[in-house]
Amino acid sequence: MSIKLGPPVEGKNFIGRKKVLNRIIDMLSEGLHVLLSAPRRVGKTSIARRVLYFLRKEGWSGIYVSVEGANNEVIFAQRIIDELKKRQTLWSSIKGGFSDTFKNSNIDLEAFGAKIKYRNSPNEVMILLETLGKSIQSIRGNFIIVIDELPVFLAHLEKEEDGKKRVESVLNTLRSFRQIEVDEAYEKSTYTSWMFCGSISLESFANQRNLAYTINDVRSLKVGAYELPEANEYLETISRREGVTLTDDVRDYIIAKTGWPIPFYLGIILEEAIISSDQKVISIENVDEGYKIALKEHKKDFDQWIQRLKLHIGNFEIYLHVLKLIAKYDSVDLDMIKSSMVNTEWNNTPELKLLAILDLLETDGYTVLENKSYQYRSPIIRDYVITQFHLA
Amino acid sequence: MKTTAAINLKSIRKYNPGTLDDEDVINNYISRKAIFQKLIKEIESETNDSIPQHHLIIGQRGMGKTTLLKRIEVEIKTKEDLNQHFVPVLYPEEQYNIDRLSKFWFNTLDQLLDYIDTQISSEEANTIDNQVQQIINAYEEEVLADKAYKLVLQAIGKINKRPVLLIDNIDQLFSLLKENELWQIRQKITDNGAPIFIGASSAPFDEVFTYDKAFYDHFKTKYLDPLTETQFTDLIQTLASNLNDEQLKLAFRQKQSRIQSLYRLAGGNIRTAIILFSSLTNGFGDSISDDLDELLDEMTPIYKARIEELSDQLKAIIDEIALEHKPIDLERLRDRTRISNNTLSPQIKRLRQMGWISVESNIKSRSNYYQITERFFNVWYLMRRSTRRNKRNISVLSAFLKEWIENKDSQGELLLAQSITKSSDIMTRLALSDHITDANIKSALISQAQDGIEQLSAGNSIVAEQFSAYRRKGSNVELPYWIKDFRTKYKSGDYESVEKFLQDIVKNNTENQNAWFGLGVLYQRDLNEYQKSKDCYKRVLELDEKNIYALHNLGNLYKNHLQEYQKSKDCFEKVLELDDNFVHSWSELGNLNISHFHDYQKSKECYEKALSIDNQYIYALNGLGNLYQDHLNDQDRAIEYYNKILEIDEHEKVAKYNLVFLLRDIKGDKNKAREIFLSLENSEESAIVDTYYLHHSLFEVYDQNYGLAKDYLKKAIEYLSNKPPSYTIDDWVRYAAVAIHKGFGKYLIETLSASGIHNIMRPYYDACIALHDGGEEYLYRQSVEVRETAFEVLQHMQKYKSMLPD
Repeated sequence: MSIKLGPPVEGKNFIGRKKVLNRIIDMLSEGLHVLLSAPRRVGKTSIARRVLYFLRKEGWSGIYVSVEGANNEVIFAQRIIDELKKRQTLWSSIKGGFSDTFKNSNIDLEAFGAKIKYRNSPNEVMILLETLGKSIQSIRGNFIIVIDELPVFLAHLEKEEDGKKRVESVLNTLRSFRQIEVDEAYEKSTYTSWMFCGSISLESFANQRNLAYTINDVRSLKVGAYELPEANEYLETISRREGVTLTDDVRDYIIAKTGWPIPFYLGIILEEAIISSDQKVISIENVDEGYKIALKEHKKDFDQWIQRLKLHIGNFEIYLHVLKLIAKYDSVDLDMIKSSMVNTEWNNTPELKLLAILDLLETDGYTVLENKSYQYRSPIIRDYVITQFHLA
Repeated sequence: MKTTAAINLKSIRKYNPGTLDDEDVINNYISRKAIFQKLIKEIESETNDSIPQHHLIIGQRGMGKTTLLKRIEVEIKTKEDLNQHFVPVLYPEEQYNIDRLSKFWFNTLDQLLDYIDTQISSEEANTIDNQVQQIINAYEEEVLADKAYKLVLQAIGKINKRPVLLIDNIDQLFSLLKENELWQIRQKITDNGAPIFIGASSAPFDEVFTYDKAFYDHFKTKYLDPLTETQFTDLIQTLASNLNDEQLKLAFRQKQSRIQSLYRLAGGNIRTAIILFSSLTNGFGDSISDDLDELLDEMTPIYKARIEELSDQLKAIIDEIALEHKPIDLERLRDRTRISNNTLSPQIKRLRQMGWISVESNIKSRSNYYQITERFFNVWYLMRRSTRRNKRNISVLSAFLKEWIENKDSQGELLLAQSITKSSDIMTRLALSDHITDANIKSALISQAQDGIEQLSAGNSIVAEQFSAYRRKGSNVELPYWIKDFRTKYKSGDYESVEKFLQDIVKNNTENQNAWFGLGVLYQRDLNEYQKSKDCYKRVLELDEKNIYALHNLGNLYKNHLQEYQKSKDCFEKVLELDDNFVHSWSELGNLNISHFHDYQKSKECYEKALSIDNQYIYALNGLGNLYQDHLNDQDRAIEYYNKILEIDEHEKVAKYNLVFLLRDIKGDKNKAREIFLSLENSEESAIVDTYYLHHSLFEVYDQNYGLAKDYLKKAIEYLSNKPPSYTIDDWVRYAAVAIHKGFGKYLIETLSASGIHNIMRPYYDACIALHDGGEEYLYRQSVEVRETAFEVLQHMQKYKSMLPD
């Protein structure tokens, strides 16, 4: 059994998503910049890399950079430079642009193979970023740069000294990279497109800080679950590869179990169902057993739904209260949420604020609003919350 | 069934599997086979240039992590299809020298260079080695780490195989590196063609389990759960099967319930199992307490050394948690240790990360409750550090566990016997007759088998015809002379010889279904080796998919021993598709539909079908009695069926007990109940004195003579003489259910506690409290050793209680 559950998938492991791929490629080919948002495990990194793969086949050059874990501008820049360096042709065409910057800092370009020695001088950081931007702009031919987990990087940066300002500065700098003079664009007749990905919404992040203007030139695209035929294709492909049979009923059952069929949920349930069966034909009982085991064995993968709120959202307890309430009662309306807050510290929460909380939970993939009631997007997340907080 | 190479007992390692040679590593690998095979499959699925899936194995100390990594290393080294594409790099368990990233890569490089040196060319190895010497003192760490990794890639290029890095205690390795170094590793290992990491750790740790840390999402995690009771006993029995001392070998098989009881104290730790095995090879003690003492003695140096590794403050915390024995919350721990919250919390976190303690997740509370993770350590600690009274509690707990398990097993045997005895004896005899040249013995065996067939096939011409066909076949295979006394050996319980004999047959003729079948029965009924039994039945079915006896027994095995109920049902249904008159399968299907599928209508139809084939079939009558009594709420019909059983066999005790219970507790006919009870008193069962007093007590509870009820209860307790009940635990369970239901719970608990028997029957006592007013939450607050058995007892009590009228 070898279903990939963690690293981005590629080649024959990449299943479905044709519509979203085509849409992104069309947008990028028109010179637009794209912001791809989806909670973790939905498959956005795989999609981003797949886009890169197809564009390269069409003659584009490009890099994929994950900035997760970076907490200052230098590391951010370093990650991009590291990726540029992996593409020898690209690097040799632009490395000259860096020489002055590095000379000024007494860094040997070859040794920098390398690590940048910039530290906390804002001026030097700015020079480094500007050099980077110019270098990227000078790349000939169509070029795509994918920056993964930008909002996570910004959230970290914000916690550093003078963080708010630095976040604004980075967003503005990135914006300036995307602004090519019209003449220059004519001269190039080619595009440099940016694609940002994030497991927390960059739009919400920027809106909350009045920085929406810094990304208003970027087209936002949310990636959700598979469409039904894609979910079926995924299950069919994986089961065939694993040498087991799934009847139509069992496939439908697995998809229904996830409620929100992303490859990860389908994969873990199928994997555990196969392990719990010693038959070649997977039964509904195997799926039930697999579901139970998947919840237990992959607990850490569900912990992210709570941990990301803790990390990135202020006043996290109120979000948790709402999530627990929805988990307990399956479906709750606004009145029920309000009455649950009577006699709590959130008793006087203004309705608008409450709606903003509910809105964020919806946009970030936790819940859906149907017939004026909030429900979990996926029964798995609900079951996780029930187990985790002893709500049964 | 697969034939496995013999285990070299001298080569079993408790601590350092790394010192074994490859062959011993392969042969000694008994547990964790499924996860091993899964990881190998995962490795195989990686192509040269794939983005690798990394893996993390989590299991507390002694759960088999190091051995699993070693086994993977050997598999990659020795299997051609793997070693063509992959090269294993097994790191030492302790990597004391690593304090920076470059050292980690240089350590990796060292091992790759060893490989190049031995497998490719010394010259190539030397070239890279020279480059190492050139850079090692020439750069600052950040640049050096990058350069070191480049050399690793260069070495991989030379080898042209993908490295699989097998890193034990990967959590410790990561904790030695700085955060930015971890992110650097993360960047590298998410590249196409990067090395595959397979790490092991004794507990979850931040770098992989916290949302914003470097490796979150990047390791596919598998937990090495404690062995189940069956896996634990299977491991010990597999080791025992390699002993040369036949008597000792037999002792291991006969002391199954003792081993199971020790399991409940020792937890499912592989290392403890191996030490237990090696300790028992010196011979079993007179009682379970002796065996426990011996095992504790064996563990002493290990546990002492382990606790010495801790700082004084951590020792003090462990001391309090271990002495508490049951889960303890932070507030109580703070009071006991007198360490302030600010200091205590980080220390607790550290102990959790080191795998010493874990949170009891079933307690619903705002604060966490902590307990010692390795349960046997806790038992050891209590025995060394605790008061005399607490030590005694552990000893008596072991005795209770043994009685409880034996009691459960005896029910199991009964169920097993009812459905397989006849066919198995016949098949075994036929298997023998096929291979015996001595005409007299051969003819005697066939004749005995024929008798059996006649009984079994009464009214069933198809079965009779099948056996006649067997007899006509004959066989010319010759076997050693000693098999002449085979039957005697079988009857006298010399299962070793029987097993050897049957194994010899299948070795000579792998297609002898009768011998495979005989082995299946032997493993299932006599030797309690259920996986082997399953393999044997499956082998029979490979040879003849329509063999209804193998199918039936496999169904029985799934139901009674492997807890795989859907598979069990499939087997019985297949039997009945092939032979609609096979009464045993109808009856078993009836049982299964009650106990696991809760389809009572279907169950009723099954029993009725069985009775339409044989109207005196006691098991179906009893099944119908139970069904009407427990599920269809028709007590009159139930009584009718039990009476019918007594018409067939007036001494049938199960039916009588059911009638006493039904009449007194459910129908309210105390007089009739008392009459039947007294008739039991006059029978052989009157020797069960505690049951006798318990019934008297219950009759008084009904009359609300609580004083007398307590007196009779005390007499029952006195009869136990400070030992847990033998053979009568079920009656105690039934007693508690009725007594608590009738409002006697408070007095029952008081009396048990005042008499001191509550320590001797701890799981029973705790189950009484849970049933009375404590609920399941109360049990989660008890120590694991008590809790698991207490839950079983409670379940039985609840079942009885649910039958009683309001």
